Amino acid sequence: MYSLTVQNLNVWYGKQQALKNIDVAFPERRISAIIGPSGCGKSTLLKSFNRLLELNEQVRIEGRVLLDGEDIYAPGVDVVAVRSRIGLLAQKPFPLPMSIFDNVAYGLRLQGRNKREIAEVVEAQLRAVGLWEEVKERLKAPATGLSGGQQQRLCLARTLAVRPEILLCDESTASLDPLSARGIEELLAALRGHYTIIMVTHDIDQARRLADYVVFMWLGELVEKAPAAEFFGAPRAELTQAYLARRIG
Amino acid sequence: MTREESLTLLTQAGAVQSGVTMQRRRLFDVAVGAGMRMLQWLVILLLLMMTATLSMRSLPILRQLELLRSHVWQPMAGRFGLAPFIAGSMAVTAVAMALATIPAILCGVYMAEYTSTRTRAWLKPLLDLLVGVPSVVYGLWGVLFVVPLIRDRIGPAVDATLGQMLPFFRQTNPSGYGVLAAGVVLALMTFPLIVAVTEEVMRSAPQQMRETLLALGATRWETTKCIVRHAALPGVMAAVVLGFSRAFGETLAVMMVVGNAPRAPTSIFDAAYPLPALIANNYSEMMSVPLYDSALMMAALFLLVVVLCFNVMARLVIHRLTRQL
Repeated sequence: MYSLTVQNLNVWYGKQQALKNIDVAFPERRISAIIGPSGCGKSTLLKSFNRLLELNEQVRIEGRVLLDGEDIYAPGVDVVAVRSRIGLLAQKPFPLPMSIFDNVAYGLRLQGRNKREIAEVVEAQLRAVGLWEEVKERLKAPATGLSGGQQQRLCLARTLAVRPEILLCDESTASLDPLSARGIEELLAALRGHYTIIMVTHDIDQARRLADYVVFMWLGELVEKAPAAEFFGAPRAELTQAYLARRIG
Repeated sequence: MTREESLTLLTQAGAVQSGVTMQRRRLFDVAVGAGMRMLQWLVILLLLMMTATLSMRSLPILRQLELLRSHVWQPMAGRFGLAPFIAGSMAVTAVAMALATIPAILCGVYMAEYTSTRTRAWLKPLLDLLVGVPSVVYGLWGVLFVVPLIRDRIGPAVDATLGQMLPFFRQTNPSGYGVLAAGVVLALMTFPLIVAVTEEVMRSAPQQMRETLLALGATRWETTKCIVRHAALPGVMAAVVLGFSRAFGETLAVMMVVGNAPRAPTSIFDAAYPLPALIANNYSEMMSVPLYDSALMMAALFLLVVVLCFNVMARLVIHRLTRQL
């Protein structure tokens, strides 16, 4: 369980190819970072994992993405089931336009949990992301009133409340102030060992701090993939060396 | 330009401005602002003037309120009961809104959330075209198609079933011209309007909301429902109010199919006589019947006030909804 493998994935936006022959197996219950400069296809790759990519009608996808050994693009696959097993933490925190409580409860209600259960899980999740003490007095207040960092923590609580196996983070700290970003990073680090986390980042230092496994992309191609120690210690490809030395990108 | 030259350009700080140009720009800025402010006040002034004129002209009949309170319309006898016309307007609008609102909202939601970009590309202009079709065309089509349909098919069918239980559905009028015909024509007229506005409002919901909900494992319908409830509801309300205003004030198309009989309708097949039709039909033929003119002005004032009140009420509700989001 908790494994995600990509086999020979190709993605086109119209006539332009955004991903070329991607092959990678993400280690289970570890943090993998996909790094690379803007426009290299790392967000496209991430969005292909929960089939959000196909909301764009121009997109054509070929290849396989295996979730626990089963291709999520196979005909007859239930997209909704796939998406509820793969959580997403977006780049910009997006609280749903409802109360703090309802934000976390939304996914649980979809799953048909009963009221008591929902209240318990909401509290547990808000505690887990360190938000409970700050919001317990105003659970009914609109979530949009929270600060950016609080909003992102709320989004994390909302995502984890539905118990996904895989957590996708799309530059989830990029829009936050340094302190809030550090808070989210610490939370992600604490989740290591429980979830398979795949994060996209353009911040090499963040990848260095967090990742167990690193994937480096360049112009839609996967240049190098390796365990973090190896990747940062002895990068093999010239492009990788140049990128890590910040000569390109 | 060499690289050195372009670099020297970068080092010349401070905007080079002649005082005259600056002054002219500032003057222009002030003038444009003032001009637009004036136009804005003109709009408000227009509404005030309309209300004032209608109020003043309906003052004579308001002084003799007992004339209005009558339930019959006999201008020659000095009886100006507006009640049948008010009832007619309400019946026609109610039928139209009952028929159009929910299907139109669903249709707008479908267009925004379910159709492909390509389908929308030709469906949207078509819809806008329908909004712009002149009301007389709707009226004619009502006469040629809706009225016979009601007369020959819907009337007998409804009368035989629902009509046996509820007097409201009894076919009292074999001509086909009546409340239902007008309601159907108005429903057809308001339908594209509500669809268009609903679609617009739904499309303006942030894409990230859609992605967030789907990523949480919501189905398409659950996503759509959540967007309607939590992001688009005020806009959808506005769409319905717009539809109501159009239906309540529509004159020509209604006049052509409603039968124009000054009695309060008791069945949806009854002929009726809504306020706008009353004004349009009679204003040029009042001859010199005393107070006739004033009574019609009163009818117009009533129309204006109802639409105003409805809009203000809707705005209050929308404001509250927006604040809750």
